[in-house]
Amino acid sequence: MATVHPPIQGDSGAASRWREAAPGAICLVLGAVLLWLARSIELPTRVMAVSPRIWPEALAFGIMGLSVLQIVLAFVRTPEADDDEDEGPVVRSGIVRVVGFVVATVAFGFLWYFVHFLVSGLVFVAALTWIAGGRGLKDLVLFPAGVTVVIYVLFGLLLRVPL
Amino acid sequence: MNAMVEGFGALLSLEMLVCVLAGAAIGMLVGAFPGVTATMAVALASAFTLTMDPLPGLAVLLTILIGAQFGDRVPAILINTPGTPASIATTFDGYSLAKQGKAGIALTASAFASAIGGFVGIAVLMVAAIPLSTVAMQFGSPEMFALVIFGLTMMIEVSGKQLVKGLIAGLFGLALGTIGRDPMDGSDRFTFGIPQLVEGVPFIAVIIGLFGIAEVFSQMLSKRHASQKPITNFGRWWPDKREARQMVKPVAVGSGVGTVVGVLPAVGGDIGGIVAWNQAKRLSKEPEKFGKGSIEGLTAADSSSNAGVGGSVLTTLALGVPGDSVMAVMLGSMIIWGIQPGPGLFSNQPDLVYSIAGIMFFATVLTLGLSLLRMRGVAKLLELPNRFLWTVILTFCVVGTYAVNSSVFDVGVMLGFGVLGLLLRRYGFPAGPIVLGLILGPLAERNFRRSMELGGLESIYTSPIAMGLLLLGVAAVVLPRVRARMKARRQRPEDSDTPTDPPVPAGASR
Repeated sequence: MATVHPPIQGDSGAASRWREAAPGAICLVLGAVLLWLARSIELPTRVMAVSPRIWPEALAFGIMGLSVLQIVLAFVRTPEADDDEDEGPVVRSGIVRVVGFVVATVAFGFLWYFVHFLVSGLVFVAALTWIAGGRGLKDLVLFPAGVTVVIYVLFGLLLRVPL
Repeated sequence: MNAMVEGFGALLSLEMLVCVLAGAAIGMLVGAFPGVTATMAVALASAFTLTMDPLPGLAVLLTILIGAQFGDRVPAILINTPGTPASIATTFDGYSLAKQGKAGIALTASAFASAIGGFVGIAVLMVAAIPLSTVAMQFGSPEMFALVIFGLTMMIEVSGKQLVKGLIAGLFGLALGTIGRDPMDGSDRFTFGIPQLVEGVPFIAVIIGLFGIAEVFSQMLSKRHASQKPITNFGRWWPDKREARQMVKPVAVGSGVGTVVGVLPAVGGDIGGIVAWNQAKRLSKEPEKFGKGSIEGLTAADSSSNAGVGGSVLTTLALGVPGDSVMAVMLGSMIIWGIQPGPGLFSNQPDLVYSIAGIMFFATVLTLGLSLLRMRGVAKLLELPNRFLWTVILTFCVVGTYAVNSSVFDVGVMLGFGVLGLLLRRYGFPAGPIVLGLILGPLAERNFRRSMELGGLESIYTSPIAMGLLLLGVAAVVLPRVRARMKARRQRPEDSDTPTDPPVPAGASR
């Protein structure tokens, strides 16, 4: 089922190599952090057959080894077409929407402390719908009101979650 | 016999009926919307089923899975887009049939084939679960460690062509599993003074973030659109006698193939469907029609992917090794309910096998009934604007995650893993191995360190069962690759068995 992508030439090929290598480098750093954390685990006073550090240390070495392999492969292997081909190209409005959703969710977390869920939830759902492109009374009032009530009935009243 | 009576008897309540009905409705809808996967729905549902008793909760989750396995055929047949990857092979013949004005027949034939496949899988689950568990009961720590390692080899299968990235993701999942109490001495590890991390990373929040939030964010980021317009002319609904007779052999082939494939860890309904489609083509008197609107091809694929559910549940519950991402999510929920899937489960609670089989049976019957309802309305539903779909999913993810522990911290974890999941997708890292690592990691570490305490490495390599399982793990990784390489050498590119790749929801797992 795999699609065979043609090799990419020129500048885009070089960019693709760096794009493949970058996550490997980040993982290498994270692996090193895990190794440092593993080595800071306090050893128990009683004698054990194996150190409690052995498992996280082994994982850290595994991550670092594979990260190096990922970096090497990024420069050695013929680069394939961008994964964007599967995921679809990123659009500017999409980034705005994602950031908007994250910010709205964080803001909802704060608002919820001060205002009842039926109000904060309504504002939250309306904000999400607006960010996603909804406009007008139906999208920004009726739909959010319906969703908020359904969630409140399902979670708050039926499942007794303290909303 | 008592276990069977008790198991089925536990299902006779109004609550169970409501749970199965709700699960079937949700599952059918989930399956019908490309982009909303069964894994995502089960992850989300697991958040609010945790407050329920285990059996009703399981009823909801299992029925969603089964409902999604039926619902995903609808977009596969009507818009040539599999609702979940399990219906990839449905598109090979389903959409061609629909274009020929036979959408009604395709939907009906698909529903019956899926149901028959499902029943075969359930029968295998009922017959094999207890004997398999009884054998697995002999397992000590070395054998359990080997079993978990065998389970972890599925990371390689889940990783697909991104093997190195998949393994890195899996190791990070295992590393996440080290957060919390040390499995041997109980001391805090990597908690950084955060009390919510003492019990470990909240994995429902991680799962919802990686599968639910990341999927929504990914769709937003790239604004993917369906490329096909839904079919609106359904034609005749019931197959005639000749068409019904044509379905018998492919359904038998599909059910058999699907059951065997389903038992294997990490091989999902998508692969089962494609393998069965190929087998049915080889055995057909009209192989030339496959890929151009063959009822045989359609029914072989659909019966196979549904037969695989029973086998997958069997492996997950009897051995504690999740068959795929959706089973990993379900396994996580069960652990929270206090049910520890694995060798002891069915030996100690044999009635649970029959309860689960009963839930799956009722769910299959119910979703078959729903599938046979005329589906003109579904074509309209497929046009639901994304702004509503995204908002509903995100809101349910937020409130559902909060509901697990009434914890805003969990919502933060979910959001963080949602963003991480999005980055992983963009850079080609599969999310499935992280979940597998997170769930199986503590089990692997505990049994490894216990084995070391009991007798060192010798306790592992002197155990025939442990060594057998480890060799099986190696074989599961190596053999398919060797076979694929040999096949690729033998086969010229133009001899491809399957039609052109259909569009698949990106990053979806089931």
